[in-house]
Amino acid sequence: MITRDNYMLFFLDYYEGVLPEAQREELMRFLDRHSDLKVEFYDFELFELQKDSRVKYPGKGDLKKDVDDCDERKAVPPLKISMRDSEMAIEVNDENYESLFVAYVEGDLDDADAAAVEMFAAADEKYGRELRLMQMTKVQPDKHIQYPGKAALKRHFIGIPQKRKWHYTSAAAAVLLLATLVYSLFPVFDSTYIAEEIPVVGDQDAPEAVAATPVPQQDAVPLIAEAEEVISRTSVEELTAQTPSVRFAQQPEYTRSYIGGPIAIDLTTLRGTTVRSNAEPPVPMPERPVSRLVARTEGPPPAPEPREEVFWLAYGNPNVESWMATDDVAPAKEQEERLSNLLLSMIGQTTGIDRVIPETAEDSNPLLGMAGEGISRIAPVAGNAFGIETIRDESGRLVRLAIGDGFAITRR
Amino acid sequence: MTTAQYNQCVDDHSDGVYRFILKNTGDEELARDVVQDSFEKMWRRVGEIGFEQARSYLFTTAYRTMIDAIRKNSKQQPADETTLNGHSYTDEYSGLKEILEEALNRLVPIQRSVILLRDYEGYSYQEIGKITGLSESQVKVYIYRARVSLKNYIRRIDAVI
Repeated sequence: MITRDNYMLFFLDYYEGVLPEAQREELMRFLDRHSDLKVEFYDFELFELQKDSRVKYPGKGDLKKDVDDCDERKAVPPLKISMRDSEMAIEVNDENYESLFVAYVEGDLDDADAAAVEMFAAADEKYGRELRLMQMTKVQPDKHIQYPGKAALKRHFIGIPQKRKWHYTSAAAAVLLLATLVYSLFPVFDSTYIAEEIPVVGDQDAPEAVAATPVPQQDAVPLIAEAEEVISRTSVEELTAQTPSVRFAQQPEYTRSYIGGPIAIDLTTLRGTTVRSNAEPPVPMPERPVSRLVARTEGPPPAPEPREEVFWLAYGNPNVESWMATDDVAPAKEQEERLSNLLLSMIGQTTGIDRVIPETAEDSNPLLGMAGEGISRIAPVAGNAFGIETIRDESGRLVRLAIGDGFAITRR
Repeated sequence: MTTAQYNQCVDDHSDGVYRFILKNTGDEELARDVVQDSFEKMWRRVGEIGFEQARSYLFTTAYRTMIDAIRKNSKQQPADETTLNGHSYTDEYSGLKEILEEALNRLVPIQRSVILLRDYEGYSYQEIGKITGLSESQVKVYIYRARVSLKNYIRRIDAVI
């Protein structure tokens, strides 16, 4: 920035032609602001010295050499450095030779200065030895000295491959989500909806013995009432004729009321949550002649595995009109249905459900169909679509969990 | 810097850092500790330090760790040019290397450090300044004084031999 304290320097640079264009413009603006300095600025121009060609050196002739002298000089060995280098090179003398020798050893000198140093050292043995000694001060690393603990310094990352890590992460997330879901729901439903198991009608070990439960309602009393009402609209004899192996025991109405309800059920199976190594493999059962009532699954039934499975049952699209006695209950049931679907969706997203059996046939009964797959018992679970049943073993480990409209099944 | 690059730094620079510290202190145990400490510090910041800056970081860290250690260790008594004058020379030197080693040991620590960084590692004045915390001019002055001291020592020994 040009100020009144430094403008002289800019004036000088301007007239010497070394002031950059930007600063020239700045200088002009400065002069516009400080017009009193313009006189001084233009006076500078007067100070520029012009070459005076009238002044000549008088003894020029004496300086000239004849041709013979010139030839004689040619005979002298030429200098190692050129005249131009000699003119530019630093003067080496007794006072500065040591620092220049250091600079020479350090490689800090340009060619001209380095040559000047070499000439100075070559001219005198004393300085030549000094230069050699200085060159000896360059120390070389001892390559035999090596750090002994190199291996211990290295780091080795023992990690999970990315692909496997993803699996572990996914598994952990699924487990956490499932645990969160299950244990956040249990406190709500455990105390309200869990019902005791009802043994299979007749011989529990008979694979064809199926016990069904009435379509549950809000609590036990209306549940039974509704069931009885449904029974009145169902022919026990007809059902018995179609399912002759079903033997009604102590609660025949209770069982028949359900069988007669044309209910569509979404069956979702979550496999492998509990494993019992000593469990008996399920015995495949022959197909039963109950085509009108038995729900058929698409494709063959899953291969039996020597373990207890957990089935998640939920209503997907119940035909409430056909089994609900009054229309005023329907809205509540539809609400349950929506919530049931939502819950089923949540379970599917968090647990990786592997089988969903949609069944909408009015005259089907998936429970009977499942009886053919080796079901040994059916337990009534809850009073509405969000009934949850849990069964734990002696150690408190969860061995069965069912969510839905009141059914948990256990394979033999 | 990746783990692989870090391990590459161990291969490339641990010997150099170790030599630098060992020649400065003459203490193998201290040199090992300083190297280990320097790499440990670098590992802690491995995500921040680029592979290209690793060498400079290691030498800088090692130098400062060494200075701290020397300050703590009162036994460290660096020789200087005055002690050099009072030294009784012998003819037990078998070659220039030993003479130079001895001369190096007699330099004041800062001169020895800058000479080692310059000659062993080929650092520029500016780089040495960054490592040692000196200005470039100071580095030049220390190198000049160190060279003159080394030269004088060699000349005296050379005369005796």
